[in-house]
Amino acid sequence: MIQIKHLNLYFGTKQVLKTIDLEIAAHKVTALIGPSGCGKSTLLRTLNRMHDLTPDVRIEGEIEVDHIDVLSPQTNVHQLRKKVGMVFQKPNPFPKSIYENVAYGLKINGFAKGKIDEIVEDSLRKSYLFEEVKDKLHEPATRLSGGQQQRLCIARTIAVHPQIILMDEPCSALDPISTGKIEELIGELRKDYTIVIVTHNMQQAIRVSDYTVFMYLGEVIEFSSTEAIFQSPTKELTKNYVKGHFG
Amino acid sequence: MKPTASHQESPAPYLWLLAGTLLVCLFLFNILFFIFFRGFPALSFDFLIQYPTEGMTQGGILPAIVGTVLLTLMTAVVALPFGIGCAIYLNEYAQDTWLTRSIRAAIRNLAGVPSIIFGLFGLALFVQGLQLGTSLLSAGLTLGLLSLPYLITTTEEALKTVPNAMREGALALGATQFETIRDIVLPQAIPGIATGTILSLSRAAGETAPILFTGAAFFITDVPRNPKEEFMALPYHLYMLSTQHQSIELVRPFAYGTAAVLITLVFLLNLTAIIIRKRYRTHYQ
Ligand SMILES: Nc1ncnc2c1ncn2[C@@H]1O[C@H](COP(=O)(O)OP(=O)(O)OP(=O)(O)O)[C@@H](O)[C@H]1O
Ligand SMILES: [Mg+2]
Repeated sequence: MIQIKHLNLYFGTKQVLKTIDLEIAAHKVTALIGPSGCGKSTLLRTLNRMHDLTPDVRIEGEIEVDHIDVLSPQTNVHQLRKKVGMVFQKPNPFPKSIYENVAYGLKINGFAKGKIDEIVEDSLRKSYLFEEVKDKLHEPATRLSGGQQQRLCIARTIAVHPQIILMDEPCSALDPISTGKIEELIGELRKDYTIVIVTHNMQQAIRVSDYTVFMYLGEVIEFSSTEAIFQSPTKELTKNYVKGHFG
Repeated sequence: MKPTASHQESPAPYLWLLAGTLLVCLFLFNILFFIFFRGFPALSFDFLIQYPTEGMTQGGILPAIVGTVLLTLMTAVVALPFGIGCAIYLNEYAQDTWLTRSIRAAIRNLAGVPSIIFGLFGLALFVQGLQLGTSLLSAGLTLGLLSLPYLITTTEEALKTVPNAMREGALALGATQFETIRDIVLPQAIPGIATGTILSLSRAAGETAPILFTGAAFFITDVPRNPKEEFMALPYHLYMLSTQHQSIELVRPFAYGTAAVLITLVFLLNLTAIIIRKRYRTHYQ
């Protein structure tokens, strides 16, 4: 689904990603783990070209998503981002109504009103939020709890029918109950989407992911099934990290 | 000053701040009271809707009120598109290069240029250079220029208060940068932009120096019918009545009355700014 070949990324003169080669499988959940500052977010944001607006970034290598050459300047980045959705660390609903939040991605794509209503409801159901908000669709999204806001952000992302969903520590700002709900949701979403999730929480990686990538100082140290990474890591660094010796 | 467990916090800084605040308020109320008290005899409904007569010792100040309102509108028409456009460009599109840094420095410096310089510049460029004559148009353009630095700065501040997470949220859904600005950034920045706009306009409405040579007239018998005509304006009228009139004592109540009307107008504008800000704040937060 996602092929990353010889990816190097520099912020100014500082190299943050070092010759990364990865192949991320379709309809699976892949977790990115590693100590703080090792480049997890940077790698994730390369996949939907979120670095476009950052000054002084230089990227080398190749990324292919569903036959699209992601890094090519000719690629329509807006088309790409519809295919590769993103959920952020801090819930960031727009200061609009719940309905408007989910409808926004559809509106800019010129969907008809009736169709939008249908997709909004469907997306809210898929993100387990509909029952909680069905009576207040037109109230401000900012009045929802943090966990609800994050599920709303997921609903907003799946409304535009992406194939891939990138999540950057989606639960780090949430309480355990909300976290549980999001994890359950990820389990549901893996049927329809390819998910790449950054997490600091090893237990979460074990619970939700099929594959795990362990990164250290900008390099991929080990990439294997989640079970293998946590039960029988082959590299010393991985072993120490998953046992909690550093990080 | 750090309060410690054993010592109570000293009340001195607080008292000092309180005294400063009271002093400022005292001056403000003193001025307001003085103006309205002295202007009271002149203030009436007729004062607002009549033309001045008998060398301005009788009648009202209708042309000056209409002139100031039209001038403010003209200023808005000139300043808003450029000011808001420039702020959006600087904050949303421009990279941090020497060019944008020098543009910003120029804007900051322009804000400090005395308004009489703007008046002379307007005279040279609009009245004479572009042959627009002394007119509502020339004066509006001059005041527009005067308002630009303040307008750009406040608009940029308003845009800066919109968190980057909002922009990223929209972009991640496939929105273009233009759509992001139009649908997400601007709606959130509008209270700030509106407040900045109104405050800069109310400041421009009270200016005398920039319109002195560019279009304000001492006395005309009619309100301006098109942008190429001269006009009367409240601040200029006030200036004339209190310094240039041949019988200053006689028109003194009119001068205070004019001042009271000008202050009320500016106050109403500022009130609008406050209301807009409050309404938006309670709306989606
Ligand atoms: N815009 C930027 N400009 C310069 N350096 C950056 C920028 N963004 C990130 N970095 C640097 O790149 C490195 C990787 O950052 P990144 O955010 O990808 O780490 P991370 O693995 O996501 O860490 P965390 O777990 O703390 O979120 C860090 O050293 C960071 O300081
Ligand atoms: Mg990160």
